[in-house]
Parts: sequence; C-alpha cells; structure tokens
Amino acid sequence: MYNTLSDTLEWAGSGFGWIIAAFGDLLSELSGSTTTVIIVLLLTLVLLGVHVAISLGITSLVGIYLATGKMRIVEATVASTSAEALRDFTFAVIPLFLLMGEFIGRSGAITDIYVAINRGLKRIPARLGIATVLGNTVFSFVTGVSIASAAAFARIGYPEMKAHGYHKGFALGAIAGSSVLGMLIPPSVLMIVWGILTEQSIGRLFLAGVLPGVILATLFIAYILITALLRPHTIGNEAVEVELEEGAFDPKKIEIKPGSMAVSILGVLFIIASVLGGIWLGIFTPTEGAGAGAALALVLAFIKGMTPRGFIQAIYQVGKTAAPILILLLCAALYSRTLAITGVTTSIREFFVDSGFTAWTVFAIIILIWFILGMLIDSISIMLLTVPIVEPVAVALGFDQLAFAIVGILAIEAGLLTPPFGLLVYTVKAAIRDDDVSVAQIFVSCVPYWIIILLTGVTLMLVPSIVNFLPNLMM
Amino acid sequence: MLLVRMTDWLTKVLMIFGAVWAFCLCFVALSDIILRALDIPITGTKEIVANSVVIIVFMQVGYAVRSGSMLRADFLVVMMPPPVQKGLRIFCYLLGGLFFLFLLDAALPHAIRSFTRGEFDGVGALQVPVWPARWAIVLGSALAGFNYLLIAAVDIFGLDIERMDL
Repeated sequence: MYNTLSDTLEWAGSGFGWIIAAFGDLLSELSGSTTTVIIVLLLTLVLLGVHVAISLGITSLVGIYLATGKMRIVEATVASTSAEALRDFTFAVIPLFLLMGEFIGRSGAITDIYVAINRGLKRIPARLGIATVLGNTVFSFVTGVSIASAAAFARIGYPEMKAHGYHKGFALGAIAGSSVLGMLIPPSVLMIVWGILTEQSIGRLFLAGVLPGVILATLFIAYILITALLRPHTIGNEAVEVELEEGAFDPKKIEIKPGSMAVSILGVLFIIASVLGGIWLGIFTPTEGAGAGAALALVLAFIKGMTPRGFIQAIYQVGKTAAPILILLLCAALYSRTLAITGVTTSIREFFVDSGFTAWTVFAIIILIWFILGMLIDSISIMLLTVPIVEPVAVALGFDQLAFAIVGILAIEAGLLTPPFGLLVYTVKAAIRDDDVSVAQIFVSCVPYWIIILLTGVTLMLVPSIVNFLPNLMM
Repeated sequence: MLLVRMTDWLTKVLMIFGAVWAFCLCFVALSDIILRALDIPITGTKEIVANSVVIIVFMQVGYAVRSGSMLRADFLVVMMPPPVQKGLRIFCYLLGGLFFLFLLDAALPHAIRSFTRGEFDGVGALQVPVWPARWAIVLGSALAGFNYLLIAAVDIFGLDIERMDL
C-alpha cells in the first residue's frame, strides 16, 4: 500500500517539479538574471490576484530552482521550512493576542469605557470626536488590528455624532483616522510580524510604539479641537440634547450600573497593566503575556455576560483570522530563505549602498513604495513582501532600527487611509450603512489625519530618541 | 459529491480542532508563568507550544482555502472584464493546488522518517515528539491542495458548491 502511494506521489511530485523547473527556465531565458525573475515574478503574481502566500511560495520554488538547478534542493528547503519556520514559541503570540482582543471586544467593556469618556468630557467642544480618539487609544491597548477599531467605533461613536449634526465626513474621518492608533499602540500584530521578520525583540518594539502613539493621539485631538473652534458648523448642535434614531447606539440611554462600569474600566486597565507590564519588566515573554492576557480577558468577558455562543464565535473568529496570517508568515520565511540563497538581498543592498543616493533619498524611495503598496495590498502582506529586503538596506545606511520599524508601520498604515483602496475607509463605510456619505467624502476627511501621520513619521526619523526613550528606560 | 462532503467535513473538523487547540494554548502559557512564579521547575512547555503552532496552522489552512479567506490583492483584477477575472481566479487556484501538492510531496518522506525513527524536540526531561507536527503538515497541505483544486473545479465546471463558512 505504502509503495503504491509513494510511487504515485513520486510520479506526481516529479510532475510538479517539472512544471516549476520548466517555468523557471523559461523565465530566466527571457530575463537573464535570477534577481529580476524573483522580483518580477512575485509582483506579477500578486498583481494578478494570486493569493499572496501562494505568490511568495511559487516564487520561492522557482527562485531556489534557478539558483541551485536541483529539484531535490527545492524539495528539501520547502520541507524543512514548513516544519521549522513556524516551530517557534514566538509565533503563538499572534493567535493569543487575537484571542485576547476578541474576548475583550465581546465583553462590551470597550463600549462602557467609551460611554464613560463621553460623559466625562461634558462641555468640551467636539467632545464626541475627542471621545472617539481617546476610546480608540484605550481600545488599541487590547486589540492588535486597526480594522477592528474602525468597525467598533463606526458602530458606537457615529450614530450620536450624526444625530448632533456633525459634518458626516468629519465624523467618519475621525473614526477612520484614529483607528490607525491600533497598529501603533501595543499589542500590535504589525509589530509582532516586524519583530519576527527582523529578529528584533517584540517587547522593545511594543515599548517603542507607546510614545509615538500618544503623540499621534494628542495631535488628532488638537486637530479636532481646532477645527471645532474655527469652524463650529462641523460639529453641528453638539451642546443641544437630541433624540437618536430608533435602534442606534445611544450612550445617554445606556443604563450602566456603576458596578459594571467599574468592572469594565478596572478589568481592562488590569489586563493592559499586567500583560504589558509583565513583558516590559521581563517577568514573562510576549507569548506568555498574550496567553495570560487571553485567559484574563476570558474571565472579564464571562463576568460581563458573554454567552457560550459568543465564546465559541470568538474562538472560531481567531482561527479564521490567525491561520491566513501564519500561512503568510510561513511562505514569507520560505521567501526570505530564497532571497538569501539567491543573493537577492545582498545585491539589492549593494545596489542602494553603492548607488551614490543619499541615505534620505533611499529612505524617501522606501516610504514612497510603502505608500503605494499601502493603497493596494493589506499591511501584513506589504511587510512580508518588503521588510526582508528594505530593512537591511536601512540598517546599512545607518538608520535607527527601532525608529525605522515604527515609521515603517506608520507609512504602511497611512496607506490604509489613501484612495483608491484605503481599507479603513471602506471598513467604516461598510459599518455605518449610511448612503448619504460617499467613500470619496470620507477619504477627503482623512487627509488631515494622513498629513499628521506623515509629519509624525518624519519627526520620529529626525529624532529617533523619541522612539528609543521608553525601550532604553525599561528594558 | 460524496468525496466533497467528506473533505468538507474533515476541513471543518480540523478547523474547529485547531481553534480549540489554540484556545488551550493560553492556559499552557498561563500555567507556565504560574509554575515558574511558584518556583516549580517545568520543562517542555516551550516545545509543546512551538510544535502546536505548526499543527494548528496546518489544521486550519484547509479551511482558510475553502472559505476564501486567504489574503490577496484584487485591485487590478476587479477592473478586468468578468471572463478574464474568472480565468485569473482559476489560474490562482491551480497555482495554490500546485504549491500545496508540491509541499505534500516534499514533506511526506520527512514525516515517515520522523515517525519511524522517533524524532524529538527539546532537551532534558520533557521531550516532545516531532512527528505529529510533520504529519499535520502532510495532512494539512493535502487538504489545502485538494480544496484549491475543488474551488478551481467549481469555477471551471460551474459546480453548485457553496463557499464554506462557520
């Protein structure tokens, strides 16, 4: 039985090998250089809509074959990468942090906190917009993805802003713009992926994001306040009591018992403090911290009345989100090995270092590439495609490694607010189900946030000590 | 059709299995912290978690393919006429099938060797066998490859099979 199976597979395997080999030979015949083949093939496949993981995988197979000329080496590399690349304690951090965010999201604690902030800000102009930014900041500490923040605040923040006659674009711009904080404030999936790709400490990256996140949130609030003072009509009749549409989320009508509110606030603060504090003080690794955070969040969610159904949904949801990310990471590891075997990383680094461009020109080129890709592809794919290539270049040119990481994340996230494919804008638009606001209108309202993000990025690059301050202080 | 029903059942079961396993990891990590705090030495948790990651991912990859949640960039594709879009989709699925079946073919000998020779991960008292992870790769890539070919067939022959969801 085994012999037949293995013969069949061998026969099929040599068939697959032949297809890949023939394809590779044809490509190298056409272009003449392995480096060109690897980059052009990858871009072509991604642009044609081939799944990013598959594009990375197929390109790697062809690349390794071209570099070594032996199908056996391709097979050995693929087999060992698939078994070893993910067999690392660190990777468990992704599903565990997603689980923590999912449980807290389903506990309703974030809604309570938003309501509390909202009530605490009485009499301040544009308080709803500011509450959105502040609520997003808190939410960012428990979730690692911006999309989750954008969807949550479109649901809980928008109805009231709309009822008070806020300019709709202004309201939605605040929601989409401030959800960028989700990726900058720890825990952030992008930071975890960046840390894995560049073999940096994830804990240090987490710390590095805190100050830039606070700066960004402050600038967002300043922008909202200034706009409200200069052009009061953008915030409508905020001071007046209004009735909200039937069924919309209305913070005024929400009866939250003081006890329940306290559980939410203290619970979330406790989880944030113990998880991040434990990681930063070196008591446990990010993976253990994420595991503990998920367990604590589970307790909080059950105290706040999560149903068994919600619990099962949360676990499924993590499976749906985490598996594609981890498969992408696996294929990116294969691609990284391919780049090393074929010498592409070295030749690109040498090209830039010898090109005579100033460091800042190269930096500008990299940022530009990220902006463009950010408009087209999702953030994690962009990182996997570019970071293994550009990070060594940036380090060779003498840029600060941590600052480069944070600015990179900012640049990639800014792409999510840029037309024509800004994912955050579409998320917000899909979550509000309001046909009066066009996608274009939301994009226009995001421009100020985009500019603030860009300016912050440049500042961080010029003054890397902002990024390094907390990591050096605490780790 | 019976084959499709069977593989769909397997895809779902493995997905749920992986999801529950991922959930259990949070208790493994938590117990590690607590036991260390109590100064009870425990070895092997890192190896268990590390091997679990491989198993979980390959348990769930079949579902990711079958439910269409693999990440892709479709901005260029959506601008093309529908027949071209369909052609590209089929091309994408066939490439996916090719990749995973290649992986299956490459991983199988290692899985067999790992099982017969008893490969272990870790040092000291608690050693974790590696073969479950190796076999998860074989099973997962076989299922992912099959599901890619299945969704390609759905597009090529216009089969009446729905996208999977939980």
